[in-house]
Amino acid sequence: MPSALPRRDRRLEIRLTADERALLEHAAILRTSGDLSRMVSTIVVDAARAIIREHEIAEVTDEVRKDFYAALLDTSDNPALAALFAKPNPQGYDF
Amino acid sequence: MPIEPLDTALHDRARFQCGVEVVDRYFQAVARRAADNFVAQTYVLVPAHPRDEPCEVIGYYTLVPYIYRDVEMDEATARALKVKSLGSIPMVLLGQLGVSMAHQGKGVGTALLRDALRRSLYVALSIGGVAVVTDPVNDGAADFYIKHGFRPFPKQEPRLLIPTRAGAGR
Repeated sequence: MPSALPRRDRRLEIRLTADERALLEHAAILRTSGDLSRMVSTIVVDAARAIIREHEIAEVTDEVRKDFYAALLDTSDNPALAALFAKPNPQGYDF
Repeated sequence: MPIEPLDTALHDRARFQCGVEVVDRYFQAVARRAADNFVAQTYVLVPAHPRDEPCEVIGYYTLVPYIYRDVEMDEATARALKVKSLGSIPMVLLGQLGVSMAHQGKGVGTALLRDALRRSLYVALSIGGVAVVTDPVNDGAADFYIKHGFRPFPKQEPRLLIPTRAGAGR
């Protein structure tokens, strides 16, 4: 038996200009029989998924590959990092 | 003073202000949900006990698992990087770092960065991780990270990185 669709019971408030609101309503009439909430939620959720895909997982492309691995395999000294680890915690912030 | 995972029952998010709106807003509105959903973990520097509940947050940072994929990766590169799975390059993203305005200018940010890097390097060296990367929120933040050892990630600007091997043994 198919499971029930998850309930859309969480609200999200956004502020828009009057023109933006009218634009969304127009699009909702064309896409979701005027159901503004369904149109916005569907489109925004899809867009959010795409953003997460792009930002959590990056592709190494031909253009960057050589520099990319050179940077990751760089074994040159890093005195700034050594100094950071050698520094004591600031006074009064003992942790 | 302890650095502990964000717990909204114990740590006052609302009062935290570091002066960079996006860093404040992340902490107040997103950080807890991100942790609940296992997307990112936020650590806070807070006063030692005894203290109010919820207590002031002196500063915070957020760590996020991050992956680069390379379908063209060869086995020699995978061996050199010590990645466990061919084509998948795990990293730690230092997503946010902020210090409350009342505590700025005292070296707290530097100390938080050191703690964030120690934690990141421990994780990276324990279960595989090639670098710590960060995307500075502005030029001042970029200068701060570069001063403490981050380097520009070529062709990934404004992203900065520290390869894990550079921090090994710290």
